[in-house]
Amino acid sequence: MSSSNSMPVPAAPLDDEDLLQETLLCLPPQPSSLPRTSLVCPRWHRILSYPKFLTRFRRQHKVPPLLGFLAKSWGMPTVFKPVDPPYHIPTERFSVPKPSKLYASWDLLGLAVLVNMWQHGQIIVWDPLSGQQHRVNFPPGLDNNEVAFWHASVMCADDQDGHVHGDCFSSPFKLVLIWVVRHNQASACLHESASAVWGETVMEITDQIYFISPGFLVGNALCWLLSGVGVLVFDLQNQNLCVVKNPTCITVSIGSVQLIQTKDSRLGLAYLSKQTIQLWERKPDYDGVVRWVLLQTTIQLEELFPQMFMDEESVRIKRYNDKSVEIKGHDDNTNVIVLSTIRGDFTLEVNMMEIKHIIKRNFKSSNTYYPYVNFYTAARYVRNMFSMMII
Amino acid sequence: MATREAGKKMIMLKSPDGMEFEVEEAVAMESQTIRKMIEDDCADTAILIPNINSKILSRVIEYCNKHVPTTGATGAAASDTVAPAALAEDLKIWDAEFIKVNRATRFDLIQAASYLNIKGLLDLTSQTTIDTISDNSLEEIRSFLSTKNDYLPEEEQTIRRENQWAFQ
Repeated sequence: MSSSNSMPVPAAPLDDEDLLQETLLCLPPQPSSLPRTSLVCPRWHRILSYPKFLTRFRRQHKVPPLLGFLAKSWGMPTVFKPVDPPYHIPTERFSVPKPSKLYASWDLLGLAVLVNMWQHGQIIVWDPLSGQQHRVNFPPGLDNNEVAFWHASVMCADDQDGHVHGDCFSSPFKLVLIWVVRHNQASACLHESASAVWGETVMEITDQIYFISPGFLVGNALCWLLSGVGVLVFDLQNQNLCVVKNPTCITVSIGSVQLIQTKDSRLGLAYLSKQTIQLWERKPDYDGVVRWVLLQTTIQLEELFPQMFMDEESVRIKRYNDKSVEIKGHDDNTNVIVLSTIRGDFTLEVNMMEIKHIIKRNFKSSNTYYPYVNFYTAARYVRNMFSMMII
Repeated sequence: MATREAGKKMIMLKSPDGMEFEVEEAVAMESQTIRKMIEDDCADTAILIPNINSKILSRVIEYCNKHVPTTGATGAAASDTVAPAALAEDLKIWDAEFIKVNRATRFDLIQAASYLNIKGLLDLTSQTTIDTISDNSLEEIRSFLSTKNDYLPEEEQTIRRENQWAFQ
């Protein structure tokens, strides 16, 4: 071999643009990380603003961090509650639609805020970090006046191919709208942004429905918890709708049940009863038949919140009302359950069994929490700064 | 010169300052650059590695020697009794010791890892550099990396103002 004719001379370290990019990919995925580091010099700033670099940065870190929760309460404006540092972003960096539209209601699934504009017959898919919007008209044949409940969920169209969430708004997405009429007829319809058309509406007649939880994605199925009935499952591949009955021994009421994805990526339920959270999984049993199986892991809240259940007021409340704790949300990526108590609202990291405060107060709220996970790379500040620099 | 020693294929790596290192082919092939040369049949004789001096090259070989996957038959670290998790933990501790070097050596290692295309070593050296950056002020980072701050004062002020939260 003639070794000397095949080896180019390398540049000095970190003066080499490629090498600097490789190094900067190791920056932590904390929201403040890129804006801080971009202040080293304009060259670093330019690299940290490249869309290609940002895509690689997200791919490098794979799992987007939990940035906060959209807190929704009856009769109150929906607000964004950021998590504490190091993943904290200021609330003003999270743009949500103004609550002035009389018939607008909101939903959130992972990466977008969905605004349902009943009076315009439209759903707005809204990126809260960049403010980008897509408007989608309702599916044909949907009569707004008959609808008792609705939810919409948005997903990246290429989610199955190693896709990493981040700047998803430049990519095709899928939108599923579910609505309930006459409290017993659930319908679902899938919209694909690439073709801009709605699929066929599928329908399922159920027992009486008094509430329906936000959509929850498990594998290739979107699931909603129905009051007293079970779980409504929409298969994204075949566009089928069916109802899976709840385990017979659990009683569903507001705040007692949360859909989860289990470690084996199956549909699961977290069921709160008597200050204990049981975990259930939908899986083949010993005889090969798929049914609900109670998992061995249980979460004893009295061990995690000793002070919560020991003070006088809590004991009094517990005596008269077993629901001194309620489940108010869940994030699948970070396996966090949101709990509301008379001492405020908390996150419980199931893997670490760690409790953190979201809001402190001395009464139990009616907030529902929608987790928001994303890399803080699709944000407007990066682009603004980049534009400023190249002007 | 490709030779065989105790059943293992050996190859010779030469640094520009004239040092020669005889290493197992499998160890050298931790470098994707060298692997490609061997697979393309361009490595019959000694391979000259330009711009990587003998001190750095010997450290790179030390890294590759530790990280080469063992076959279980002859390798010193290969043992069916050692759990993969324990092996990974052992490597992590070894890496942490390995990278305790001065700034100049670390930059030389980054450059060597990039040039020889050794992903594990590039990740280790890059991550260590970033960890250093994360723990220091902007001035310290600039000084550590010998990077000149060529922002205009008003540009720097604007970015600071717009992202004040990130600097708290």
